[in-house]
Amino acid sequence: MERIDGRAFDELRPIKIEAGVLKRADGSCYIEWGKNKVYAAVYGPKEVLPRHLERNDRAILRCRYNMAPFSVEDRKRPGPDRRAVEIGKVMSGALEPAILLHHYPRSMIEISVEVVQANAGTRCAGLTAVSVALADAGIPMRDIVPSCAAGKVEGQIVLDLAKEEDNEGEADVPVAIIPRLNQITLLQMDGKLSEKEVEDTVNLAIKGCNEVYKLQVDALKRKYEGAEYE
Amino acid sequence: MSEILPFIKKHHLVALAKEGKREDGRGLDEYRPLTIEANVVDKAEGSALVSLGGTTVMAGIKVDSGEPYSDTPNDGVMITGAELIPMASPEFESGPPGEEAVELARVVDRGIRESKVLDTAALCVTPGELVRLIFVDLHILDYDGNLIDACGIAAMTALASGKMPVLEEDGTPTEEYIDMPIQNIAVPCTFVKLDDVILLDPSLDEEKAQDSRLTISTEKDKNICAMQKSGSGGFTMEEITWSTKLSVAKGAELRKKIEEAIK
Amino acid sequence: MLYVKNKDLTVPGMLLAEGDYISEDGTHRETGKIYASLVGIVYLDRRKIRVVALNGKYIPKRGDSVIGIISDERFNGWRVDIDSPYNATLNQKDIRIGRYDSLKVGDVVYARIFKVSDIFETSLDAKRPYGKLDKGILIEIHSARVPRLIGRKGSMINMIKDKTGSTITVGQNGLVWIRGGNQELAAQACQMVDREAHIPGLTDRVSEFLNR
Repeated sequence: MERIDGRAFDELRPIKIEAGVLKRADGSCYIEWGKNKVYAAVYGPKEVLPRHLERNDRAILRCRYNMAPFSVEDRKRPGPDRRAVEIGKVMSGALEPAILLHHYPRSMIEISVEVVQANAGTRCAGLTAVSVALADAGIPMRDIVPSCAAGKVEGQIVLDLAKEEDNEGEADVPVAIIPRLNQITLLQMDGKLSEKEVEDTVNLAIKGCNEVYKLQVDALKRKYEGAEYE
Repeated sequence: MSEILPFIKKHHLVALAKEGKREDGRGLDEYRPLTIEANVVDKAEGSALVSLGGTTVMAGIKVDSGEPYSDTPNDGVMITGAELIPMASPEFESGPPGEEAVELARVVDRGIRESKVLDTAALCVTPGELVRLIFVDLHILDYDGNLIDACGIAAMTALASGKMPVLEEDGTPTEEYIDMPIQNIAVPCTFVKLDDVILLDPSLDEEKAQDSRLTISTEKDKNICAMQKSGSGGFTMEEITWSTKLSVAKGAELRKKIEEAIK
Repeated sequence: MLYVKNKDLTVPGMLLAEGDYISEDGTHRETGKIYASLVGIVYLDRRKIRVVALNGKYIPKRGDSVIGIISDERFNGWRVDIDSPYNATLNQKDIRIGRYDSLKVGDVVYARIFKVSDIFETSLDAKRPYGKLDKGILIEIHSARVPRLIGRKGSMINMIKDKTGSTITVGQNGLVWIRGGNQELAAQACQMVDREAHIPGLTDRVSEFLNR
């Protein structure tokens, strides 16, 4: 079966990742994933405000996902809507197990994802960029967290759905993993799949994640190549 | 770094300013390095990414159709909004636009509106019933001083390079596009006052150290089309005249850069 | 079994060693293996492995000398911003100021950290030779770059001091105070170190820059 853009069933869209693109943020990353364009920024660790959210045993994580009004076909009203709030929450869940939060009691790590151009898979692109931004900010982690989606289009299980496929497809399954720990930390699904199809789709998404991971590592190495210290 | 400007820094900036110098080696009347890129995102009908020193903003235009305002039944509508998103600065918080964001959007809007950048009559579809709605959305990505000029340039570039869909008789959009009806190019020039020295294009620290701020927008025939004084200090008449004169000159330079970017 | 060489670049999650090694700063140990936690440079010292971060915030450490900005008044003292996730406290009794003077929000102090609790509540002592800083220039560099700015046995910072005639006080937290001599040149040299620490040949470049 030929995909709309001619890709193989297990082929990712072209991805470009650049670490450290913003001046003010403590860590940042810009990603182009297919026709998605997404910025991610990290501030922290920093003082917790409001104070009552402070925890004495570890840092807390705050994730914001937002789409610019001009990022989609029909203008989106500014500010996170309910979908965005949900995405922020599942992103937190995807990243928390990977961050060594106990290193920074009484502090907060604030993460921001801004989508300026959307074409399906924005939460995977955003999460992928955030992981790089966290590493760029010097936040200690057990591993970098890649994210990728797989789904079912015209009866076939395929990797990394583009917008046209997502609209016509039968299922979309975004996934994020902590590669080193063999843990799936983001898993969502909408659509309809049989039990076997779920397994195949998630495995395909994990394969995609492992490829994305190499690009994340590469982006960080490119930025810090040749670094000397003492 | 703390968002409070320490006295040592403020005194240093004032001392430099009195000698006609600035921290980054610029003259008092010089802009930081400016890059302008048009057509950066494809879902917007017009867009621009502008970097002014360390400040980076993205402007996006979305075109829709709707009812005109009752007092201008045959004119299209332009609506400008700005978001100081948390990504851009440790001081920005999530939430509805505060007074800084609102003032920013309105000052940028005023320069464009008062110089009639958009031929609003050409944005009319069915008189009294259906007109084009032009949404200009400013998304601040990195805040390092002088959002007004960065946003003004971004909004103007996005409009000047923008396109809108050709509409059928009944207002449904076709697949064809035409240029946005642009008849002017307006740009803001922002100054801050440090003690009694006026500086063009304030850096982040210069903004924090300021006594007051003045923005003057100019258009292609060298007229002034908008002004805004902000902050808690004051300006003398001489200072305002000096700034206005400089705005006309610098405005022309900025206009040229915008025209280069949209070619 | 070692999987890296001394001074290799690491990224979080990179496997560094397995077996009888000691996991130090910037690394973590799980199921008998040692992994990098940060983007940084790995240093091997016999069986000890640490990763020095190339980025990241300053975390207060007892004994460090830091430069801070008074950010709030407290009962009996002040809150001091030391450019860290953790604010510090300076008590009135721990600084000598004239009888009719006081510290205000926006003042700058040079102080020693004499206490850090296990949840990073930090206390400063600003008695002589520490104290309030006046005049001069204040710049910020990345706290991770401070050792580079100081140099081996102070070689870099002394070179800058000699060639500019400036007094330069470097806080471990990345704030640097410069006074006297050719202040601007000294500031530029420090910022050059901050920007280019990762490019080899830095010492020569800074020396050349100062000779101009």
